Amino acid sequence: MSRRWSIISLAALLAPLFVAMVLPVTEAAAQPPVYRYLFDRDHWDGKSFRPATGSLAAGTTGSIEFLGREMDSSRSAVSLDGKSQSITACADISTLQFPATALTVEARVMIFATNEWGGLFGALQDNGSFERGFLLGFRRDRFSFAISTAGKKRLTYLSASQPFETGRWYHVAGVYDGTTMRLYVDGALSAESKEQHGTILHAETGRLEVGAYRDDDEFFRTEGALHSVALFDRALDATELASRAASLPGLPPAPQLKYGPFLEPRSLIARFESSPDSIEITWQASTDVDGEPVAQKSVRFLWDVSESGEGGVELPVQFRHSGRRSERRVIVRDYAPAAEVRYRIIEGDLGSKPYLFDTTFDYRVSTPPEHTSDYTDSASVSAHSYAVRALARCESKRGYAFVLGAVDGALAYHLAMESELQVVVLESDPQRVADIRRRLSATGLYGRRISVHLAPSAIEGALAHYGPHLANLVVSERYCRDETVAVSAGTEFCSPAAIDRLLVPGSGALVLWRPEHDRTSNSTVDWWASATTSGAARVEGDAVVFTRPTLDGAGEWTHQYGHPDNVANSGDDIVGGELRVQWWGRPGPRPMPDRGPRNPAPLSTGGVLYVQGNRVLFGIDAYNGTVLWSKHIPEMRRSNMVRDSGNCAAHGESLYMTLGPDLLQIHGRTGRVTRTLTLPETPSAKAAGAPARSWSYIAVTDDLILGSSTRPQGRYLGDAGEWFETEATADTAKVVSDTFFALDRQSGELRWIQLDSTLVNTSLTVTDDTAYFVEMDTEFPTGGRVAKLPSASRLVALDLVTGEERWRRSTDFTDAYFMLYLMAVDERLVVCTSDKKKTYRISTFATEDGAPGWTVRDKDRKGHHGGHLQHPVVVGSRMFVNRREYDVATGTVKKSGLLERRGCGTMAAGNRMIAYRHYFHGVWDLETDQRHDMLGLRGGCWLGQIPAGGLLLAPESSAGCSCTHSIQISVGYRPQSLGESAASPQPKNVRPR
Amino acid sequence: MMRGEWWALAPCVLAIVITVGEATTFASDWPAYGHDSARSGATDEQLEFPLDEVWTYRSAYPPIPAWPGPAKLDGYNKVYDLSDRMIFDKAFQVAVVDGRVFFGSSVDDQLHCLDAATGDSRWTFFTEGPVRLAPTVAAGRVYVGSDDGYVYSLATIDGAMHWKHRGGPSDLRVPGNGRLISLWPIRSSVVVEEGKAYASAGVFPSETVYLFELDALTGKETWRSEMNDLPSQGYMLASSSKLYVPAGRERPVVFDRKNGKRLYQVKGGGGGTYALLTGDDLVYGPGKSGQLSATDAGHTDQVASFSGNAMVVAHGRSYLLDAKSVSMLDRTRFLELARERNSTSGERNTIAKQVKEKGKSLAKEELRALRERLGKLGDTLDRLSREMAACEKWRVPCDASHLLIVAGSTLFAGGDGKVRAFDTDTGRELWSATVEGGVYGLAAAHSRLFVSTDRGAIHCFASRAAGAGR
Repeated sequence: MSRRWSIISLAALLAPLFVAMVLPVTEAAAQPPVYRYLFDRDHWDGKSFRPATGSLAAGTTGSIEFLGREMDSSRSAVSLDGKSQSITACADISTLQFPATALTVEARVMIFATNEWGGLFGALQDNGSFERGFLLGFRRDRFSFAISTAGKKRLTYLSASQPFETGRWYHVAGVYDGTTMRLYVDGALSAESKEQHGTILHAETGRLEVGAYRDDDEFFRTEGALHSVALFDRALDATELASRAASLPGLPPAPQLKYGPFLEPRSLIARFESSPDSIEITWQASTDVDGEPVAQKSVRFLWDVSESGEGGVELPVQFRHSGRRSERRVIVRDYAPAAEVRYRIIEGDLGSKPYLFDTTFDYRVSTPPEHTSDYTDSASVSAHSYAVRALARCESKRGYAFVLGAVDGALAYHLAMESELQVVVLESDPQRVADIRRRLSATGLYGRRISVHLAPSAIEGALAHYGPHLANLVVSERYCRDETVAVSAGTEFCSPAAIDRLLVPGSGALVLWRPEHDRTSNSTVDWWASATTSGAARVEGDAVVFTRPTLDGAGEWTHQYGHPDNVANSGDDIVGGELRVQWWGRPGPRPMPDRGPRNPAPLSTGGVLYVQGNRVLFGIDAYNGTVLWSKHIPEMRRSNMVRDSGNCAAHGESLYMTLGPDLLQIHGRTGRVTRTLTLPETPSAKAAGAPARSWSYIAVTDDLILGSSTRPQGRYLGDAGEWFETEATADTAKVVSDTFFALDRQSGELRWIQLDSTLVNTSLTVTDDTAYFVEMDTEFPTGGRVAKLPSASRLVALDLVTGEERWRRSTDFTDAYFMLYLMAVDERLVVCTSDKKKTYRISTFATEDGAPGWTVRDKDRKGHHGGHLQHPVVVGSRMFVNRREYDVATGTVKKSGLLERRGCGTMAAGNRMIAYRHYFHGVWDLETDQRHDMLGLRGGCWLGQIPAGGLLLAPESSAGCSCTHSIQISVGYRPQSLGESAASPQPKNVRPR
Repeated sequence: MMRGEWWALAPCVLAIVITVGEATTFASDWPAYGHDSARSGATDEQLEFPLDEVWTYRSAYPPIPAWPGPAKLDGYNKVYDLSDRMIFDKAFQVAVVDGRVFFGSSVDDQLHCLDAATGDSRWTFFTEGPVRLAPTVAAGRVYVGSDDGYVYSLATIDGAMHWKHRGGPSDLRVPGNGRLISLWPIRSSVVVEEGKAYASAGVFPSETVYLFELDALTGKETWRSEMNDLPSQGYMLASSSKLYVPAGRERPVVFDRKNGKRLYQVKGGGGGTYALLTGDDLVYGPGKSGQLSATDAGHTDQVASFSGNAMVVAHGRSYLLDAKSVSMLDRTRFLELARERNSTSGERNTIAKQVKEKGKSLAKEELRALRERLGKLGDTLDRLSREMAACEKWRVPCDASHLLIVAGSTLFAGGDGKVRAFDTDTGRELWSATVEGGVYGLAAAHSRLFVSTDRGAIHCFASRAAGAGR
């Protein structure tokens, strides 16, 4: 019988079976696979999948779900969530006989999310130098096929030439014929290697696993859908594989709600509203094909949808128009506490992804729903009036208020009721303390909102027992209720110096009542002036007010690497020496991104610490840790700061946050969005079919807002636990921008713009009068990233005022494989790169004309945990990088073997110290050459501790670390010398460097 | 059960009684968190069913735990649903002695004393910071620690203060978890044994954490020990000779009770503030993903681990609560097998390593012998695994997965919105009730069940006969 006839006759004989099992015709004609599984409902018995070929049932764990309609059971596929399920064909492969000389492993799969490692079908062990077995899987966004043979005794991971798309079915096959590895995608040869030859070295122990990369050490589950997998004990040829790929079984579609295309609402922000108890969600109008806002009637909002975006309760959408902007707003009043809720926005034909809102992250301080008060008499009414007037003079409505000297607690009560402040009453009369406690306790406010502390003797002495600079407001009930007596040099109160020490720098206010008779004598102002304090009190109508100035020598951390010059130094002169805990508190790890993906740095200016959680933005009082506000901003996420610029900058009282094509200006103390700017329009962006753009680089100076634009897909998200430190392009490609521009900071008007460029985001550096960057002569990449810089690259300087080019210098940056950093240090530019061999190259150029200066090369001295990725820090003329200190002027190595650091973070400096992570939060004091480790707390994998405002601020950044660091919380540290008092014993965290 | 009948019980109960010491003056009292200094969660109080809710205390605000919840995932290792390892102050845990209910509040900074029958307030005592852990009652006094940095000794009858003792080196107060509190808050509760009170103060190792022993009568400090590497967070435990200090997300540290000398930190497992003792056998967790580790008396290494959130040991049995079920294990036999498995596994690993590293250089016969030994050890491990699995005597579904106590022959399990009761012998469900919020505190005493929730409520359930007497 000829081969043709045999195929036809056999196919005819088994046709019904073929329909059910969706086998391609050729398979039955030839030798069947050793193992084959169909992951449809027909083969599922509630616990395991029956084999289509072979005798091993594939056991499962976790809740098994299917794609496809239930009634159409053969057109279904198992849906893998990448989290909780596993499918194991054999839990102990030691008894199995795998193909010895040749094999083909095949899968029909749809990937939902890329991953560092992914497995479809195989059995391998990749444990250090012991590499055995085979696996069909994927690495990041490319399918891969791995095998180990006697010829090499190590695994070769053969990757597909092209990335796959998520949400699309593929037929994938890995073939080894004894001399050659081949990887086929949809029947076409995608990659080939001759690294392996000889018999196959199979793993002796382990599992035959489906839908996961799993060996003794690692377990990476695949998030996707699997229709079938098979293992043949022969090498299928290209024709067979093309035939198999072309024989389309009934495959269920990708779940549209989960995998788009999606509406991407602009400036989407969700936040808790203080009053009434509600959540506000706002976004900007989308435009239709003609550029007009989508009609209001087709705008819908669904609250509490499923994870895949289905169901939900429709809530009314409000519409507000302001100038050219049209804002949509939804108020959610009925929501569960401490719960994850998802919502969707639909405009016209498109719906958004389901966005997550976690009501756990509610940092408001509310009054209890049911409370009673007897503070209603006339004296209490005057206390209310005083409270309102005092609060009007205090910038902070959250934080700590001190009432020094009490009468009956009415002032504390009204302060609490009229604000979200935590009120501390300090009183030296024990009986009065007891009475006030009882009275306030009856209101339900005691403790959570108000506490009364007994001053053992005088208030002055008691104040020394509070940490410095933690009060947002200081008042006195004793001196507001007795309107005949003013605080003056002769009254028993406390010293101005003690209050000066207590107030938050930059915003903390003392407000004292000014009785009628004092309005001519100014005795209170004189009392204040009689002592040495940080500033003068002023008269404001019926009150004497003192607002504490900022600390002399305090620095700010306003950009990713400190300032726009990128030297990673805040200029803080205060932080140094031994450190004490100034405050600790929220956010903890729950709202934070995983610690690995080189997340954006926190920023701090004006006494506010800005922290990026996992799509939650926080404004925190830098001195007392109070969460001033928080916002869920689903699209703000950015990671891999080694290859991208930061997404926000701080200046004065504001934070500037990039979000899609927009820039939001956010008021630091209130969180209010005060202005929204949009990318300047360009001719190419206006063209039909122009790709979407997003605001990429951001820097803010006194006069200008500097920005750049790139493709939205250019940014890294780091949602899959990446560390971004391998040599894979998916880690190392640098985000680039196609425009660079300056806006007037006050008016928002465009000053100048550089068009049609391809410049490296991490190189953008700004000084007082010049902007510098590395630019290349290549067409702008569609993905917004460049893996390898071409030899035709140049260093460019632009006049900051006019945007005109000052100079350009052709320079070869082809060795900038892992990263490229640029800094401006006095009259020098410093470029820091590391090549594929993890050798640093540090080169300098004159800021005046780009003339080359010194260059040094230095092999990565750490050898692990991102040792080859470190960003230098500069303190004066000293530059620290790769465990060496250089003289910036000469390139001379001043010291070696510095700062052993185990962790994956990078450093941040003040003028007296360098913050870093070894095992824990740590500081190296540059004056004493001593190391201070704060045991128990670890930082994240990039820049997470910043010296600013006279403090070292370390918001929680170790989230997801399954290590046993004993504490995970945000902390502010102060130098021992700041506000030192008798109540501050010496810490014991000093170690020899 | 009468006190005289204790001696008829299995040796483990004897261990509990010995451990309890002063904290179990009366059989039906629940004088400390987890009933006793071993935090056993076990009492011989037998409640009669059905139970009815007879009163409820409600706080103006729900408790705000000192430590916010864990991260949502470990992205690099792909571990989801990480366990919360800092779980000591989600609810107001009670002590119940002499018809009085004592609890501290992290909301209003007070120690409360309620009438157990009616829920009426008898007295309150103000501290100057949140009271996050349960008080301990012994010899007519109630001992409690506060975030204000002090340990207090009060009269149970009227709350009058006998003494207070500062745990840290100074009174320094700083913003901590949204409140102005001591830099050295008391986060260990107070263990009272043999006339001594034990507690610790401090959170940050860089600021030093202090462990100390006080004369329970006078408050005079008799020794003090320092830690500069770990915090003390979570209910301290005591055996007859040792103190066990939960160290936040880390593994507990063990100290000598008589002089405060640090003995060791237990090894293995994932750490966490949940812990209980049987004699000097320590169970702790929940690690990163709900795993309880067990160590033998005096040993640092883990002898066994259990997937679960809570465990109670009584009558020679272990009762284990996990996310979906509650089960009973022949504990004695299980631990015997676990020890044998550990030693067998150790031998197997050693030989396997030898074969792997030196296999080519070994003589054929020698290699064959080693492989045969490996095979036999593998068979032994298989047998041990089967026998260990057979130690489980019953398992029933249970959706109340936060905590577990045993009262006489009844297990009580608390979870989200519910509390359920099971027969210890069979696992048969005896009773259940719904409450608002998550149940994170259970105590059985004086014919009553006290249920504490994360909404700041304490629900008192009583058998009909007891309830009628209110």
